[in-house]
Amino acid sequence: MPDFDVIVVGAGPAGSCAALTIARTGKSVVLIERGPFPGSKNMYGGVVYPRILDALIPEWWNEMPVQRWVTRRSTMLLTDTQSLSIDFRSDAWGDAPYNGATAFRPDFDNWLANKAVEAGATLVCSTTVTGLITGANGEVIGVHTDRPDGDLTASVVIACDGVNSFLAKERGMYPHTDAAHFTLGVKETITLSKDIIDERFAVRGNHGVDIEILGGTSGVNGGGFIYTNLNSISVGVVLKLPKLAAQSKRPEEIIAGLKSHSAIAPLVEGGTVSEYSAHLIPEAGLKMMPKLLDDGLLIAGDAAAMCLAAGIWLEGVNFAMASGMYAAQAACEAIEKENTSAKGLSLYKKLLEDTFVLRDHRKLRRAPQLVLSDRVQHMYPALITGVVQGMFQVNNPVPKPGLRKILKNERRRLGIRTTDLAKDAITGFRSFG
Amino acid sequence: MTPVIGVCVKWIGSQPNSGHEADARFAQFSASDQAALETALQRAEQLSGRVRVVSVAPAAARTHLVALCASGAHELVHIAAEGQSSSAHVAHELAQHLQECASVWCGDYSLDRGSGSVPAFLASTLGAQQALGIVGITSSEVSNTLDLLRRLDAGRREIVRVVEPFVVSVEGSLATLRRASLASTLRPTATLVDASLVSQSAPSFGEFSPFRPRPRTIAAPVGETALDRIKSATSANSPQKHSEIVTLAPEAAAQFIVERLTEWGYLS
Ligand SMILES: Cc1cc2nc3c(=O)[nH]c(=O)nc-3n(C[C@H](O)[C@H](O)[C@H](O)COP(=O)(O)OP(=O)(O)OC[C@H]3O[C@@H](n4cnc5c(N)ncnc54)[C@H](O)[C@@H]3O)c2cc1C
Repeated sequence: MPDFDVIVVGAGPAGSCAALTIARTGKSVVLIERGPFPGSKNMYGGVVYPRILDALIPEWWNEMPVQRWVTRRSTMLLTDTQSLSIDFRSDAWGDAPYNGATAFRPDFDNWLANKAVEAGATLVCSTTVTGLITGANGEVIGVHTDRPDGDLTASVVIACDGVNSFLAKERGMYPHTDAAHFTLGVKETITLSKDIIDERFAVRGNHGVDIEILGGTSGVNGGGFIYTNLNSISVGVVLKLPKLAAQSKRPEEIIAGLKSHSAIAPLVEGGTVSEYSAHLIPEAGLKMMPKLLDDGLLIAGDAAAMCLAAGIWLEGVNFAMASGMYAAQAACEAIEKENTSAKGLSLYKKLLEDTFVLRDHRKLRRAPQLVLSDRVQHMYPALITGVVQGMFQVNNPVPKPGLRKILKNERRRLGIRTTDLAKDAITGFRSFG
Repeated sequence: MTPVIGVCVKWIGSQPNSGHEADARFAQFSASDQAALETALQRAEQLSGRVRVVSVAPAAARTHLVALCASGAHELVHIAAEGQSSSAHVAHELAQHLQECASVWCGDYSLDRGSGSVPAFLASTLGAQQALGIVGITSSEVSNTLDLLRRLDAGRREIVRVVEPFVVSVEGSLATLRRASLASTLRPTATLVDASLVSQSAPSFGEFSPFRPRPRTIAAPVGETALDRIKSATSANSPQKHSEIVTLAPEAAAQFIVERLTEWGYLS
């Protein structure tokens, strides 16, 4: 008899949703977390899109620990001396059933894990899973942990151990790992008073802002973000690993560069940096996804590279929660049918394929590469801002030049070939269109 | 009868001086409290005894106390109290559950940097010997007497001998608490005793004030001029020694100090 029906490794959003789903069926589940409490070791930019929680926690918005409800989304293009923003605001996002919210991971993850505990899951913290235990036929039957007498067995193990999953790698689920598939996310939390944040970001009450930035990363391919919490803002950059390694600036210097940009400095000035953190992001989507299941083993969340990082979207938490939930459903079905082999667990793949998790990844499979490409990173922001400057600059030409002419001049000035522009436009349209 | 070794720990709900409200997620026990538990576990192994952890703590501390005891404590007495209590009161409450303990181990500081006086009140209540600032145990044989290495100021050390019953407070460097096994973390084995306060305030320990030697009458200084009188009052011209270096055996040294203090009026 195994110790538990299911072992879930990692109490991040994926793991907690998996444990919650399993506990609700009455099966025994242990959720093992290496940090002293769920969320203690976790960081992210700051916005959760919890729609998937409708299926797990009805009216979650009444209890979820929220900093601010996101009612304003901006996308900003930066060159060294210019900025262009597309700004959208929806009052509907400030009321139930809401859209997205800023939240702190130590609050959010802890809340979600406690939901699993309330449903009957056993949570063990300060315990690191160090490896998989395999049975006579090579199937996964449990885990080793770093505690004395630390082995545990189960019918199914769900690895939700985040990016760089050692469990998935140990099992050989990642056929090829490549540094180019990852970005490094670095973030400063800057304390400012609520009144100042409300004023600078033009929001009131518990409404907040999500700004995604292209450019401003000191020439390293990546992007930036600014999110408003209640009494602080999160300012960060995500940086393509090989490009970061190929130059000499440190990540904190790159954030400092972003903060000193004339479009950003007024938003952050006078604030106190109260936290600095960094974490890898599995950025390459479908291209880097590992084998998702094996005999007795399922991989979910960032461990399975489910994070969707596609320029204007950086969504990992909702993909993690959904994949954790689907992994749990598949595990429960397999246990009930007494077949926990890869075949018995195959419902997981089907649930992912049928829902936004793999559908979005499939549709946006070219997006990460496009967004992080040199042209999108270094040429197009200059092209677009140049065109806008050309349109709004008043130096009394006769007649005022038309958009086509300005575009042509800017394209020539920057040395962008029409064929490349057309190619990227098609890829962009296929992904985002 | 199986000897019971007592351990007292203080739970602190948030980081001291953080300015944040108590947050159970960041709760901790000081390294010295953990060292006290480890030392007690080792003594219990030597004496084939049981370890009883006693704590006056709010309800939020419960899971942390249970997790702490998973390291091998046999009993946990959780005395529920939500507010702050004086050291004397806390010691009085702890003592109710430590009567049969021949030794009680405490940490010498808590994370909120309290006064560190609970062990002293506890020793007084239990009628036990007390030693604080213990950084080592020098005796190796198992007996009711222990030689302990105690820190003094300026990096100096002394060895103190304590005889059961005793209450000692140890430094964090004395021992590192062993890691709880996965089995005891999942299924805690320590017997849990829920206790409540026996009184709402501390019993009187009498009036406390700093020791002040009694005033002595001394003759007015004599001298023709003010300068002479100042010299006389300050013994500036006297051949009297103001310091004395003596080399004596410990017992003779103690006797010497007592004699001098008596001569100078500090002891009657
Ligand atoms: C800078 C940055 C910004 C981001 N911004 C956003 C954003 O704004 N919105 C969004 O939706 N997503 C964002 N993401 C992505 C998001 O954080 C992740 O996709 C999401 O956290 C994945 O959840 P998870 O549960 O799979 O993994 P994680 O959240 O990484 O959780 C894994 C858990 O497993 C534990 N663990 C790991 N190994 C072990 C082990 N061996 N034993 C026991 N426990 C273990 C960890 O301690 C952790 O608690 C961002 C990421 C970064 C780095």
